[in-house]
Amino acid sequence: MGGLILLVLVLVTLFSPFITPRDPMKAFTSGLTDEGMPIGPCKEFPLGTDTLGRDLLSRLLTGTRYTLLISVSANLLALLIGGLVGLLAGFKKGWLDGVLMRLTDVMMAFPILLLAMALVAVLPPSAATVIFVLSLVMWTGVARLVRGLTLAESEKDYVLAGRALGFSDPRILLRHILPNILSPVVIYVCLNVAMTVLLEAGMSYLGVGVPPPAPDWGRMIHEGKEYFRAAPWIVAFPGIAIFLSVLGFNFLGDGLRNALDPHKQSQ
Amino acid sequence: MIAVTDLSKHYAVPSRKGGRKHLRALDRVSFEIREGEILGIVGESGCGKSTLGKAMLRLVEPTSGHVVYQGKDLIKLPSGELQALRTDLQMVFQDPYSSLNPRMRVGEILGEVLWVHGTRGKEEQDRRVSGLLDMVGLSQDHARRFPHEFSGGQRQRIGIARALAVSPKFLVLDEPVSSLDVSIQAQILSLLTDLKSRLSLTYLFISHDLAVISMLADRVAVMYLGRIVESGPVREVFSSPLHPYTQALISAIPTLSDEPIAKKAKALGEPANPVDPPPGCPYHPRCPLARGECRIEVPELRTHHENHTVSCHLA
Repeated sequence: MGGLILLVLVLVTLFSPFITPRDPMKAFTSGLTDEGMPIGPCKEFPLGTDTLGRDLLSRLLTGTRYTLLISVSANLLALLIGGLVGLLAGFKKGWLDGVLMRLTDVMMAFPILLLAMALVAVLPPSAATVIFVLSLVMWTGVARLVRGLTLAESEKDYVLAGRALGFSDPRILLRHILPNILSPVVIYVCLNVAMTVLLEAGMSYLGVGVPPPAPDWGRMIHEGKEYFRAAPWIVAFPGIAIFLSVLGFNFLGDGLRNALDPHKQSQ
Repeated sequence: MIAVTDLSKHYAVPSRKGGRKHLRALDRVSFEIREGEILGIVGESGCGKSTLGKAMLRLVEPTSGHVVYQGKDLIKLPSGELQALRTDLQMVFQDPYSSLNPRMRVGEILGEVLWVHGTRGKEEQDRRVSGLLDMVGLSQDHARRFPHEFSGGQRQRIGIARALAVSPKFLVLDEPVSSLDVSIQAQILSLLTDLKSRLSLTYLFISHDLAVISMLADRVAVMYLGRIVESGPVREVFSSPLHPYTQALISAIPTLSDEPIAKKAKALGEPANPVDPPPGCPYHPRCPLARGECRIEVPELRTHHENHTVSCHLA
């Protein structure tokens, strides 16, 4: 189920330039009423238009690309950083653990949006900056989780047995500990992607997200909020899109948990 | 074969007043294991017997002491040289559930050990895996299954097969049957005695079960609060125990007739806290015979007669 929603999202991401009915950046004169108000869903604009008369469906489809790419790559980057930090801290213990975890604590102590705004003020505004900022925020949670799981797992007898049998540290860490802690981490990251979608929308709302006129879902909600009473569809459709993708990532997390469980794949 | 001298393992624990105290899981433990024998280690839970097995193989880094094997001190050995000797010294763990990687099939678990130690060919590897499974009484098609598809006893067999995969000379058996049903215990114990004679192994058999030790071991060492309080040939220690603690342990073995169990249990009481061991003999608060010197001076382990040693002022 989650896979299905995400498959649709991925396909849209890949093919959005070919399936958008209109230019997502273009403001149509026919897209506004005579009073300059946005038009609701109709034959010409299936999901209506936004405050500038741009086609909402096209913007929504193109927005998939931004939202999905930014959220997923930010979390992959966070998984990489947090995973490495967590594995090392949990496995080596001692002073390295202390240093790495204090660093993580320091990072966690920053208010997320404030940190994001400060960084965006310094770095050039672009999608890459947003990815970087988001991953900087997200890796700490991954690091803590991975460290805790690694710590618990490395106490288990099969790890001691590996030591006694002369397995190298990298082998124990990558072949034995990692596969056994992976499923909660994957589930956590999937949930994190969902949260990142919302966080990224929040950044766009504050004007520190992807620079306009990019049709980002969060930015679309932000742009439509003033017209919410007159033109609720501007907020509603990106909202539904965010909702569905968050749901999709949650379902995916569940599906992966089942797929990764050795109790369910015997023989 | 292996000589252990003054092996200690202290854990630092924060004390309530701030600062640190030391939990002495092992306190200057010394003994010797002779080629081909089974040395039993008995004691209550928390007395440090598991730590002893792990510290000997450096699965837990001991605080101080020596473990000399083949003229080399394992505790001082750099990790490279240690790895070369590790194949000789293996361990079978207490919990057959956490001692096997749940994500690997049995064939992979055994195959990996062989691979790491140089058996790289697929056919050769498969042949040796089924040889190992056969040795511990499992069949060849068990190799394709995951650990969770086996019973506790079968898992313990897999754990034994894994230890045997590197052709060791010495095995630490850390309560290998404690978590199994009594009927399964007997099967695993007979497998272990059988393997011992077939492969001429030497065992350090850790257990809290005196009946199991008396059946299996040649010699026995009794541990209390991280120290060995008595050791000697198993028959002698069990028939004429010298230390009051050993006497209490032996009299506490439940029998079908005899006096009520509750009375025996009362005589034994609770062990002292290893973080704050009492001054003098660590056993004196529970000892019915304790005298003045027991509260002041720690008794040394000394030879009572022949091979029978004891650490008690009164024996």
